[in-house]
This record gives sequence, structure tokens and C-alpha cells, in this order.
Amino acid sequence: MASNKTNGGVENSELFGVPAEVIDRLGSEIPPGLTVSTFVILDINQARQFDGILLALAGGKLIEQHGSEPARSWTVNSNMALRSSVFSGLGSLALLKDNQPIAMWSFTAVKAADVSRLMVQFNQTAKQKLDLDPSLSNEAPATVAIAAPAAAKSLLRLSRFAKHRMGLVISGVMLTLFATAAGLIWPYLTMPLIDDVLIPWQKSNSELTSQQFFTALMPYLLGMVGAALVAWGLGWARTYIMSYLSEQISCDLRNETYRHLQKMSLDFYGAKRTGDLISRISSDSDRICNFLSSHLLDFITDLLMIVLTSLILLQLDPWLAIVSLLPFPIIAWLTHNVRVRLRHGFARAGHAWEAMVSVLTDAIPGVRVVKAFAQEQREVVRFEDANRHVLDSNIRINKLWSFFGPTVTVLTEIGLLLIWIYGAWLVSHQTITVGKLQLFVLYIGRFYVRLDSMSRMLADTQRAAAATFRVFEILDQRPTVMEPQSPVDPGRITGGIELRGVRFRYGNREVISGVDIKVRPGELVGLVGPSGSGKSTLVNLVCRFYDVTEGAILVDGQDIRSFPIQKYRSNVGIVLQEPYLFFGTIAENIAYGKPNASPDEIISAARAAHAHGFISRLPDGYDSIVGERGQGLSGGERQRISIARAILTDPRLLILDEATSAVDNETEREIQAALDNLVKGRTTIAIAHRLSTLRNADRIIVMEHGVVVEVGKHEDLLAKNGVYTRLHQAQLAVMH
Amino acid sequence: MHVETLVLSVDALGQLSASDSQGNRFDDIRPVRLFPLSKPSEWISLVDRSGKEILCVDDPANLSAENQKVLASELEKREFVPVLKRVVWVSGNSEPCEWKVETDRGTTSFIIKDENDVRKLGENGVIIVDSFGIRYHVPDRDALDSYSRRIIEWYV
Repeated sequence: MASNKTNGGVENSELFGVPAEVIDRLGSEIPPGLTVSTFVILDINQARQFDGILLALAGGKLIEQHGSEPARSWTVNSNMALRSSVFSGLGSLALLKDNQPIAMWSFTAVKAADVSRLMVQFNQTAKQKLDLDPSLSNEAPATVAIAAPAAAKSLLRLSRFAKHRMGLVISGVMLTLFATAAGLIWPYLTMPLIDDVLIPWQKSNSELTSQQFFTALMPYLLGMVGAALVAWGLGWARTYIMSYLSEQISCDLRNETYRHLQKMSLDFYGAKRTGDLISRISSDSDRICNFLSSHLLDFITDLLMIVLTSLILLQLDPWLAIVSLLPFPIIAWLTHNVRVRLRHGFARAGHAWEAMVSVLTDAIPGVRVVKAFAQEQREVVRFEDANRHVLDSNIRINKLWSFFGPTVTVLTEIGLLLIWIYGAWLVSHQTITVGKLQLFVLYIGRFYVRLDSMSRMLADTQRAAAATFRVFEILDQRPTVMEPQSPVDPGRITGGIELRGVRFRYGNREVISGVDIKVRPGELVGLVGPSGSGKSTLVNLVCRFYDVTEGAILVDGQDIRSFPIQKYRSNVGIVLQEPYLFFGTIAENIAYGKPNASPDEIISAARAAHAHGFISRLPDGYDSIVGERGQGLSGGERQRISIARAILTDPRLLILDEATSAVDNETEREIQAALDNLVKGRTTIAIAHRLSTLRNADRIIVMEHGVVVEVGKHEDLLAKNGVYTRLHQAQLAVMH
Repeated sequence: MHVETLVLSVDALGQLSASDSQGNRFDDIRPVRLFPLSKPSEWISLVDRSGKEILCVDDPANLSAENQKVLASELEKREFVPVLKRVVWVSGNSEPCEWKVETDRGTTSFIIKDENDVRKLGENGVIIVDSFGIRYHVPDRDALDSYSRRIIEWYV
């Protein structure tokens, strides 16, 4: 871990969200080969004074580091647990062993989110030590915790994509070696050509016949042609193989990143901007591919060329070689310095570019709002701002770059000049031949041209390293909703739901504070309450888009965290307020949850959703294309397609999240008729803003401030004269 | 209404009527292909003037030969999907662009508004929707000449 503190290591450790400071403070406490999986810096001590106490979970140990005091650590065991509570901004955290506190800490609400993250991780680690029947436990069943991969330089991490293509890699490298070597034969032949043929011919003053001259000349010329042809053929094969390889690698990288994105839990998408994610998959991976196919290849060639040339030069004439290589260390030093600064510059430029794309992905889908509020100018200014940041950061890079490029060029020319001066002196003293000098000039010319192009490549290398870093940043994220360690196949559930003491904290805000609900199979339950009362969060928890912070949700008596996520969700159907239609035909959209559905099933589902009528009136019927936002269809029509989608998958558990809120009364009636068909025989939780839509509900649950305040039928609730009555009267008042 | 006892007939005015043995009778109806592109010959819906479905025929092959003939000719009467034989000229490769084409119904020109208006249909087929919503069908793009194929493959 100590090596992590150097240069690139810090950057890589930040990959896992662990600042270098934490690693520094933990020092040798962390067992080698393991990284800090979770940590929190508690901001106050037990005396409630502001302080910094590091609490980290690493290698199955809970480690505490406080100032200069020696670190304390506890090995996590199954009889241990962390428990916390927060009251008016002050939190306390206790480490329990057999339910007895063995250590206590304090923190402020600022750290509440970090603490709950640590707790989840800790309790999972503790659970892993014990294989409990998840159905009996009221706490989170064990989930698979994958150890974070060891930090390594971002570009080197690409090698894992090359692993199963070792044959190609080796042949590519060998071809590069041979092609480069073949390229060096040609200049070598000029030395004997000058010394043994041209100069004797000039000196002899036509004592030799032209015939003899050409006979002496021909082998060299043929050799040069041959060497050039061989180098050409090898170069061709090398370029083809290397670009084939790099395309394959970047294709794998894109696939893997996208697969990983789809695996991520919903909260990940809430925190990231769409434009940013898209640019990481598209332009960053393209940049990496470009780097691998051309720049890396050039780099290897250049490096080989430089090594081979220096070897030849040293072998020909060590002193001349040393003199001509004098500017080399200066260039190397310069390059190193510039590299460090460039890397930061490119990272900044990448961020600026991301921000600019984010402005686009934000404003273009919202163009109706922009136009409706006549804010075009403001959006333009927003884009110009972001674009100016791109310009600024690129100019900053270019300032450095414009100095660096010509400086390398001038140093190269000095190198050449040194050869001419020293070489001419050597020739005049008869130490070397003209041919040898010519050979040196040719080789050293190549040497510096290569060095120059290598230094130019620096920018691309840094750019590619930054791109790789950003792609791996996604790959290193792990879904917060994790697959169970010992999964239980839910099969086809009967649909009884039980929420047991459910609490959910979003950041440090408690959204659900202790909810107990039982829903019988086939029951239709309405969920009402003022906005912000936690209704949507509750159904998100039932769908397992998030995991509860405390308590458990049981379906058919089993904790939903013990089901494989996909198998569980295939039992759940959801109709959202804003239906999302994918680009494709209506038939494909209806069959989204069941891609192999027959036309018969699709049409039946559409009929049940009252969508068949309007679909058959479209010119292309079920083959009509609908766009990303379902252009050409009204809100009610899109909603009915999404209802047909839910009907087709025949879920046992149905969530209606304000399914009729976004439409007018007439459309609502149509949708309601479709919904009545959908809810038949299914356990349904319906969030409704309009209380009138819940007339068929078996029970209505009223929520406020994250707790259930009233439960009952419409009439009973009205009689209670409580929150429900208030909501009801508010709606009546609006209508009159 | 049932497919088994359905009788389709066309009167002197060219109106399609459907009746069955139970004495149900619907006049002025029209056939609608529910999957005009992917399954043009199956799933034909018979709708009345207001667009309400009276019967859905999943496979016309189950109808009597007479009914099949009436249905086929009625469908044919209501459809205009020229088969594209050759692309003669295209104004440019950014939309909107104008195409001059030869079809089985003669030479014509049309405007494509959006790149999504040229769509793949099955393995080799292509459907082109012009700015007026007229559809042009290419059953097999490999059968086209190289120029036409190049233009179309640019889109699909």
C-alpha cells in the first residue's frame, strides 16, 4: 500500500473513493492486498469536540485511528453489529458484541450518510460469517461483497481485455520488431555504398569502366530496394493486426461498460448526468481505441527504433554516438515535466467537455419547456459558458504544448548540428570515413524524428489515460442493490407483501421512518399523502430499486433481498406517471417485458388495455414506429401502451405510480378502464394523487412525513376527520 | 361474429359487408392489416366506419376460398405501396432529401424528411416512408443495382 502514495497511485486510490489521506493514516494497519472498502471520518469525538476520527472497514476488521493515538481494531464477527441513532443533528454509533456495546463514537448529521454506508457494509461483513436462513432474519440477508480490485495504472488495466488475445498481441509485437529492424537496414547500406563505391569511383578518375562501377553499385541498390520492400510488407501486416486488436479491445470495453451500467442500481443514475455517461461509453472508448490502434503502435515503433539506433550508433563509433546523443537527456527531462502538467490539463479538459455535453442532454429533451418559457437565450448562454470552459482548458494545454513542441524540434536540430561539427572534425583527422558520417546523420536524423513524434504522442497518451480512467471509474462502481449470496428462487409469487419496521435514509434525510404494512394477495391498496410523504420511495423499496436501511420487506414471507433481483422483478409490473416508449414498433414496445410474445398475446394485451382501437387506426398498425418520447401518440395512448406492456408480463405484484395523474379527465376514464382490467387478481399498490381514482381500493393507506398515519376505506377515513379528510377537502376546493 | 360462419360480400357500390349465420350483418366495413409490415398477410381486422373492430381474422387461410378472394381484393384496393425497383437520383445525403425512383407503378420522386423514414424490414427488406406518408417497399435490397443499394444501405 505504501507505493500507493506516489504519483499515479493516489489517483488510482481515489478511484475507490478513498483519499490518499485515509490510506496514509491507516498505514500498515491495512493487510496487504486489500483496499479500504468503506470508511468514515467522524467529525467529533466522544467529548463532542470537533475532531477527526477515522473509522474504516478493511480486511474484515474495523479500524479506528484517532490523531497520534495507536490505532484500535476489532475483527468483525457474526456476533457483532454496528448501531447508530441520530437526534437533532447529533449521532451516536455503537459497536455491539453479543448486544453489549464495546465501543462508542459520536458524529454530526453531516456524516450520517457515511456512517450508514459503513454500517451496511459492516453488518454485511458480519453476516457473511454466519449463514442464516434469510427468511427467519429480520435483517439484511448476506449479499456478495466483491473485493475492490487492486489499484493499478489506468492504461495498464486495459491489458485484461487483451489477455485472451495473447496470440495477436505477440504476433503484433514481433511484427513491429521485425518491421522496425528492416527499416534500419536501408540507411546502413549507404555507408559501404559511399565508402566502397562512390568515393573510390570519384578518386579513380575514370580508371574504372562504367560497367565495373554499375556492377559494384547494383548489389547495394538491390539490397536497399529489398529492405524497403520487406519493411513495407511487415509494416502492412503489423498495422493491420494492431488495429484489428485495438478495435476488438475497445468493442469489449464498450460492451462491458454498458453491461455494467445496466447492472447499476437506480440511485447511481440519479447521481450521474446522462450526457456524462453517454460520453464515457462513446467518445472515451473511441479515444482509447484510437490510441491503441495508432498512437500506441507508433510509440512502440519509435521506442524500438530509438533503442536499435542507439545500439548501432554506439557500436559504430562510441564517441560520436555520445556527442550526438547529448541533447537526449534534456529532452527526456522536459518530457517528463510536461507530462505531469498535461495529465491534469487533459483531465480538466475532459471534465469541461463532459459538462458541455451535459448541457446539451439536459436542454434538448427539455426543449418544449425552454421554448414555452422563452428561455432560448438563456440556454444559449449556458451552453456558451460550458463551451468557454472547454476553450479555456484547451488553451491552457496549448500554451504548454506550443512551447514544448518547437523546443524539442530545436533540441533535435542542435543534436544534428553537433554531429556535423564533431563528424567533420573526425573526417578531417581521417578517424572516420565520409560514409560513416553520412550513416550517422541518417540514423540520428531518424532518432530525433522519432523522439519528436514520441513527444508529440505524449498528448494523446495522456488523453487516452484520462479516458481510460473515466471508463474504469464506471467499471469500479458497484451496485448498491446487491445479489444475495444464497439466493432463493421466488418462482411465481402469490403476492402477499409485508413491510416490517421499514426505514429508509436518503443521504442523512430519513424518508421512511418505520412503516409496518401487510398486504394480502390480490388486494388493491391505495397509497395517498401529501408530496414528500414517502409514497414513491416506499414503492421503490418494494420494487427493490433501493434497499431498506432498516427493517425488511417480505414477499410470500421471504425477505425480498434473498431473491435474485431479476427473478423477483419479473413478478413485478409497474406503470409510471410518464410512460417511456423505446424507439421501435408498438408491438415491440408492448412486448418489451416478454420479447418472444406471439402477435395473439400482444393483441390481447392491447385489447385489455383499451389500446387496440387506436393502434388499428394507425397507418402501420402494430408496426408503427414510436420514438424515444413516443412522438405522434397522445399521453393517454402512450399510457395505455405501457399498461398493455404490464398486462403482457402478467405480474403478480403491480405498482401504479400516479398512472393517471398526467392526463385529463376523459383520458383518465379510458386509462382507468384499462387499469381495471390490469389490477384484476393481482396484488396492487396504487399511488394516486387524485383520490377519486382509488374508489375501487380495498384499503387506503395515508402517509405523512414517512410514516403511516391512517388506514381504512374511503368512508371510514372521511369519518376519522384526519389527514385524509384534509386531502379530500383540498381537492374538492380546487374543483369548485 | 365468428370466423367460421363469416360471409364477405361486395355490393354494387363497392361497399364491403360481412354477415354470419346468426343473422348479424355489418355494412360498409373495411379490412385493416394490424401488422402491415411484419406480417402483412395475417392478423386482418375488420372495422366499421367508425373504426370499431367487428372481427379479427388471425389467419385468412382459415376463411373460405371465396371470402379469401374478396378480402384480398378489398385489401389490395385500399393500399398503395409501390415496390421500388431502382433509385435513379438522390439530392444529397442529409435529410430532407429528394429521391427520384423507378417503381412497379412507374417513375416518381419524393422527399425523405428524416433518416428514420428508411427502415429495415426483416432480413433484407426495406420500407421507405415519404413526407406524405406514402410507403415504398423494397422486398430484397440485394436484388437492386449497386447504386440503389448503396443509397439505401447508407440508411439501414
